[in-house]
Order: sequence, then C-alpha cells, then structure tokens
Amino acid sequence: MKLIRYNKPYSNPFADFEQLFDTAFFGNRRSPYANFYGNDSNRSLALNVYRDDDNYYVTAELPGFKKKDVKVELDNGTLSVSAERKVKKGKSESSYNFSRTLSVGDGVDASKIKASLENGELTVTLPKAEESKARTITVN
Amino acid sequence: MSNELCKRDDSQVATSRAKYRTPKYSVSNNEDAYEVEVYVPGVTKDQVSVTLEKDTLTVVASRSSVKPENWKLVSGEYSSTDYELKLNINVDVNEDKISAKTEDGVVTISLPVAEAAKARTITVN
Repeated sequence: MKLIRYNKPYSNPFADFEQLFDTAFFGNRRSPYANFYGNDSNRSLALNVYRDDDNYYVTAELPGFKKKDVKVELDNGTLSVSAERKVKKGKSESSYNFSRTLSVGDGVDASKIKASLENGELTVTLPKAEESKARTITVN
Repeated sequence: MSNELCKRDDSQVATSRAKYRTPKYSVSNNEDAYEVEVYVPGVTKDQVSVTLEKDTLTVVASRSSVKPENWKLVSGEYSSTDYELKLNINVDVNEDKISAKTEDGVVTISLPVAEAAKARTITVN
C-alpha cells in the first residue's frame, strides 16, 4: 500500500504559498500556523497513519464532532474523510469543515474498513488485503 | 563552567516543554460568564484537571489511550502528547461557581463573572 498526500487542486489558492512558507520556516515539521481551528472555511485535516501486521490505521483529531458529523469513504483506492459541524451560540453560528483525501491504493480490504470516533479522535481501521500481507516462505 | 550549566538548563527546559502541547481554545462571553472551550481530542473526562490559582487558569489533559505498541507510525502530522494550557484572567471571577465539563474531546469551562465586576446600568433621574 502506498500513502500519498493528495493535494486537492484549487481548494486553497494560497496552498502553495503556505506550503512554501511552512517548508521555509518549519522544514518538514507541521507548521504551528496550520492549526485546524484557524478559520471557518474548509480546512485540511491532519492525519496520523500507523500500521501493524494486519491493519493500517488512520487517525485524525476531531474535537467536538459527533458520529453523525463525520463521513468516511473509500472510492477507487482513495480514502476521504470529511467532517462538518455547526455551532450555535446565542445569536452567532459558526461552522467547521474539514476534509482530507488520502490515496491508499490497492492492498486494502475495502469491505472490512471500520471507523470509530472516541473522545474527539477518529480512528479508521483499514485491514490489509490477504494478498498484500507479509508472508513467510518456508525453504524446502 | 557557567556556560555549561546554562546549556544544560536549556536542554532541560526543552525536554519539559516537549512533553506538552498547547491545545487550541476559544473564548466567548456574555454578561454573566466567560466560556472557555479547550479542544483536547483523545482525552476522557477523568483525565482533565482545571485549576484556578490567582489569575491563572490552568488546564491539563492527558491522553486516555496510548496507541498500542505494535502500531508503527507510517506518517505523523500531529503529536499525541498531553495538553497544557495556561490562561491569564483579568476579570473578577466567582471562584465558587466555576464549572467544567468534557465531551467529545472538548473541555468547556464556565467562569461566572463576579457580581462586583459586572457592568451596571445606572438610571438617570
């Protein structure tokens, strides 16, 4: 399985500049300015990806989101996570939107993907397809 | 020698800072209270402590679940460390009535403004 960061073209006209800025000042680290509550428009979502012998795990931080606010889809080897919630406080209403697309390629058993949201942290479990698991071959 | 000592101090500060991450937060207010929302994804209720000492509100939250050991990080864009936030409060707060709750990784703290500090309308005779 390959994991490639997928840049949505045209979603943010300043994305290239921001990236340039981030790389210039923060190297490969994530910039502290890339904060997810920075504004109300559609923000990219920071993801952590883990693996063990059987699964890949994609985690994201979505504080304040309920299960119904979050959508996880796998289409053609592309995993997309999107979340939207509206907060009403007195007279004001604000909405938070996040989405992120990750190319996972083949090697994932699409029918067995699971997602859970606990304490504002999303975990998507992507089981490895049988044929892409590491195999031990006995030498005769 | 003093230089060496300084250096050591710096590195100690750096490691102790690296343990915590400052969470995102938002503050809103109405006439009666200030409401602070602190975003601490991955934290359960009993892992949060809120203290008010003099004018400093401190929120410390530790992660409830550590990732299983056999999970190997493939790519990491955020750190799963504990959170610490210190806020200075420059308004009189009714300390007895402070309340806090945690839900879905958000700590909501309500700080009622003390009677003495509230805005008053004075009727003109």
